[in-house]
Amino acid sequence: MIPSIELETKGLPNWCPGCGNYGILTALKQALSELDIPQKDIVLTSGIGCSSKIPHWVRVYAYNGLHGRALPLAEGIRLANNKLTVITCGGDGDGYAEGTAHFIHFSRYNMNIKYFVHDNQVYGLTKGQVSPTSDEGFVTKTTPFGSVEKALNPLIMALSAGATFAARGYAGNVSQLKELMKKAIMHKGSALLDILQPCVTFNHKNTYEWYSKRVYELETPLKTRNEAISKAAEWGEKIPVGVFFDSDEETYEDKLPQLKEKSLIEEEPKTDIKQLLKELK
Amino acid sequence: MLVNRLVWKIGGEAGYGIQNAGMTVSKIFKELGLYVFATLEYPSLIRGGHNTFTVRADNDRITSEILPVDILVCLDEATLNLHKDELTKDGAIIYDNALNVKAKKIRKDIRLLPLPILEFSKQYGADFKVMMATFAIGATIKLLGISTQVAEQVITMQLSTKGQDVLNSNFEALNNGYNELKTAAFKIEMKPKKKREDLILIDGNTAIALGAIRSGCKYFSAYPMTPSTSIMEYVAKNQEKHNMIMHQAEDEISAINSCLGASYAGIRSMTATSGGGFALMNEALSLSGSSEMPIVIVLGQRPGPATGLPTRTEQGDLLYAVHGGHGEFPRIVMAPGDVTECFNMTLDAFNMADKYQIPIIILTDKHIAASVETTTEFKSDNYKIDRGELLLKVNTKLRLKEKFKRYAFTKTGVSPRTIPGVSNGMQCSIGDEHDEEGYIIEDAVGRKRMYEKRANKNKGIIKSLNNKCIEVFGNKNAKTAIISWGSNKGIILEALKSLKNCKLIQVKILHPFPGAELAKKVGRSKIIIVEQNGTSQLGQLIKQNTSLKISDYLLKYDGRAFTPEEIINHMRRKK
Ligand SMILES: Cc1ncc(C[n+]2csc(CCOP(=O)(O)OP(=O)(O)O)c2C)c(N)n1
Ligand code: SF4
Ligand SMILES: [Mg+2]
Repeated sequence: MIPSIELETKGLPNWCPGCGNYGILTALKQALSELDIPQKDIVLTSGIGCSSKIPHWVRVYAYNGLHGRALPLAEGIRLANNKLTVITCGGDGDGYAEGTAHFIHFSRYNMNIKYFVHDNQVYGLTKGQVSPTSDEGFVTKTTPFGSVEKALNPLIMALSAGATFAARGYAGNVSQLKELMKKAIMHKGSALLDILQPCVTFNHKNTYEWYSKRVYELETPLKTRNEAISKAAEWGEKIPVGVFFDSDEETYEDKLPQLKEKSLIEEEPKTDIKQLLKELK
Repeated sequence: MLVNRLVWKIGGEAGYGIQNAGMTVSKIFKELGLYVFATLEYPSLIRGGHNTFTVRADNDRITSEILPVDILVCLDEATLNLHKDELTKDGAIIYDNALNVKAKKIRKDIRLLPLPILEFSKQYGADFKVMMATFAIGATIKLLGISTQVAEQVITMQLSTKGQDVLNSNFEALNNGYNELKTAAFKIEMKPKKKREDLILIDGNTAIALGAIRSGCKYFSAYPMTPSTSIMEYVAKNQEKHNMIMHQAEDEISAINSCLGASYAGIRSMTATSGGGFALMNEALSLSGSSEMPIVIVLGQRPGPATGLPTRTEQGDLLYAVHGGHGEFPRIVMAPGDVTECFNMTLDAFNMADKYQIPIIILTDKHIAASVETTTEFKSDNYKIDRGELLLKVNTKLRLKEKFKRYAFTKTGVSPRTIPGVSNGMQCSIGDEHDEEGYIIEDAVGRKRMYEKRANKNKGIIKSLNNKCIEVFGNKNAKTAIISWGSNKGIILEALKSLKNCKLIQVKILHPFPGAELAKKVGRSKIIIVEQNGTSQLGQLIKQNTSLKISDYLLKYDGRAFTPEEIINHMRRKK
């Protein structure tokens, strides 16, 4: 339990009034305050975008890095100290365009990192360009005649790359989103939580109304990875929300003998090179 | 009769174990108590192509390859064609007796030593190529009067993990080569001395990796790229024993960012690459500058542009290392000139990175990264790990009245930093411009102040580097100064043995550029710049930072290291 007042920072969010990011911030703060993790052991990394500013408004350790590169930061942090709870936040452009390679490999590594993507299907911070998750035909400043590209499905990508947890949430349903965040955080391994996030300023298609009409809750996770992938393909008139897949597998960190007893940070460095020099004699 | 002074070269296609054979011979000489300098030249190919390994041995310390070659071992015809004219007077060629040498117009003075290398090796089936090399080593040691015991001892050490069968066939090949060579008298003889227990045989990359381990670096992440790959391989091999993690990342962008993450969480981290990978790392280099996150980056140069000559050498990235990364931020660029400096500079790099919370670039090249030399065992007993203003120890508690300020304004520009796990130390490290607490700012006054805080670190950096940036070698009173940097050091030192009226001024720290120190060391000497690039990047830095006049340049950009002869010839022509 962290008293919610402890999670406050000095500033107030400067997102547009009505932005879906407010719901995500509220859910995140509630989730962190309800979980039993010491505040000092929580780290948030983020990239660049409206979404990536979230560390400024929740008081935990944070590293606000480069556009698309928040996951590698998180990986270095986890390997340095595997006692930490490491969460990465960012936008759909950040994670599914600029940082695609990192997203795929993060899923495959199965490191214990939680990836929350504020998916507004548009580029917010740069003022309204098409994104990899924009629906085909979506009109933006860079696609004035409608996007000719197919939308990318992040859940399918994560699942087919090996992520051990994949879920979708909706910024318009804070209590449900909070529960999904808690599940993701408690999961052991790489977890993707793609969050449908209305951008009231630059996405006039995928609005609160549009999402609210379509989302429905998945009762339980699907049993197999393949079933989860098939379910994740559902997008259109109906959009499933909830945990698609949750499997307990050995993590990257579990497999490293160096981390069996202590984390790297807790251990004194082993700097004696006598033996190594002897091998060169 | 010459004693203990030799250049031996072996050549063949990739796949013939040329490098291993070269290492075996290097170690045999080392066992005899001699100094060694060895270089590998190879194309970017896995099979075929032309590979050579040259081993030079001497009674005294040597720092470069030289010409001519005394013994040439040809495992293929190309070696004969390409290198026969490098042989000294009365040199020898060991080659397969099926090769037709008549047509090759080989000088009369050269000893031809045809041997049934292939015929013997055929019995080993798939391994025949490697056995050819071992056979040739047998012949080599016979020619030089070296006993088979020494060679067997070295081979045993080298193949310790390969099993008794492999060892036995290698002994067989070695002894056959030894016995097949009937005439032993040669103009050079190798006489064993007392083995020097304080000597090690090492290449630049291994020296850097050792330095990292000694410095307490715990996280290494990289993406393979010649000539830096062997650093990650060495760390990978030793990671468990030394409580480190080597993570081969999906690309260089991930590698450097994860190093920054590890550094943020409180452990020392390092990455290594070449020009192309460094290009991918540039944005994060700049993030290290803005977020004030310590990191050590090894930039092993090879000829560009683009993929260039992947396995050759050049010094074309000096200005790139100095300027790479957008925006302005303090950094240090250091260039080791030999394996010992590779080790020592790595120790310094980690301390300086922590002390000033900046990126440090260790600038090497293929020649120093992959050349092997004997040197006195590295001494580091006095090395103290200095983590600077890092408030370490997870699970401790800061006692503060107000919120912790990661980027607090200080006199030195360096602010204390906390790591996750410390109570009350919560902070945001960030690439956006920020205030003392790490919150994004936009205002002009705040920006100017934070910019100046970072820039202020330069004062301390320059002070701690004062008088450690330049070294002078050779005749200190000489009127002519060769100014150079990096791997050229050893080659020029070799040349100075014949150039008594010259000195070498080695620039070890290239950024911040030690202009005043250089001007002092140069005095009134005439300056000749020696560099492995076409535009004299060191010369450009000298002109930018001093009022020194450069009289002459010796530049090379064919992908091959200088030879001492080239330098000697150039200097003699100048007179
Ligand atoms: C290397 C780099 N390229 C481009 C940008 C400019 N940029 C900043 S945020 C952004 C996209 C923002 O979209 P998204 O990631 O979806 O975040 P959102 O603002 O929608 O939350 C872009 C292109 C940048 N900061 N860095
Ligand atoms: S532009 Fe869109 S995503 Fe960004 S703050 Fe405004 S509403 Fe939110
Ligand atoms: Mg977006």
